[in-house]
Amino acid sequence: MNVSLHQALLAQIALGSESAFAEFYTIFSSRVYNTALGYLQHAEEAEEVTQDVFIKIHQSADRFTGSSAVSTWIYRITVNLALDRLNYRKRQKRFGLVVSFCRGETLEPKIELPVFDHPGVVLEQKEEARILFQAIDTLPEQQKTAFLLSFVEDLPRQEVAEVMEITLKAVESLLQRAKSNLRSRLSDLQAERRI
Amino acid sequence: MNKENWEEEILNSLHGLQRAKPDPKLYAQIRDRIFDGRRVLPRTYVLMTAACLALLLFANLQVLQRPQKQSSSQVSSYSLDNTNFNLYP
Repeated sequence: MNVSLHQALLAQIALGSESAFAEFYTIFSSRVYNTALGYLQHAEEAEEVTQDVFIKIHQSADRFTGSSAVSTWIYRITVNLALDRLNYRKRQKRFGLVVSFCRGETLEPKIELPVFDHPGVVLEQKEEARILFQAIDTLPEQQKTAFLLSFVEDLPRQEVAEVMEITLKAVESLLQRAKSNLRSRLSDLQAERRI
Repeated sequence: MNKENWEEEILNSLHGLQRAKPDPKLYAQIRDRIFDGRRVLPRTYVLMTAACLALLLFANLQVLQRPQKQSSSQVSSYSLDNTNFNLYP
């Protein structure tokens, strides 16, 4: 990974260079998109978040202090914007529930996300990965972030800690709790499948 | 398959996962939003423009104040001269 190249590109982006921005996009777009996709489990929304991330990068390139790696900074922006989008989605869902309640309809949520298939999963694991993503969606934010960065983005634990601005030990603890919660959720899902 | 094995298989299903790539058209959309549509100026440009404008305003004020000082000094020197002429004994 060429850290100085990334910083040089950011400096050029801050001066308004379009070619530097294009090169920067080529390097980081799949990392941003893949991370956003892990959270949102929806291709179009993940693309919208990717757009927002790169616009934010363009706007704040001159504010990058170099206190962390460029990739860490980008992951931080991506995680924050993806979580914002998830919260927005939750608010929309709650609003929909209130509206349907006021209309005297049932409290069943009407808009459910379609079943998510990650395009990068190996073919033989598609069914299992589909169930796993369904379970990941139920994790609390911090556990979800630690799990997605570790297993979907395959980042080293130390980098996960830097992105999340927590200690390595805290990341390990979050991953342990995430796995435990996933096991419990999977156990429920298996019970539901038997019924 | 027993329960533990099934759970393990699910948890390990992301092994060998390839990064998903966005639609190739996405860059054009982002580029349009940044460079063509509502032009988003980098902060350095905005700050430099603001600094230049402030400097220009300051210079203008300085220039405007200078002739006023000259005219007041001329008036005072004129009145001083006037008193020294002793035209009226």
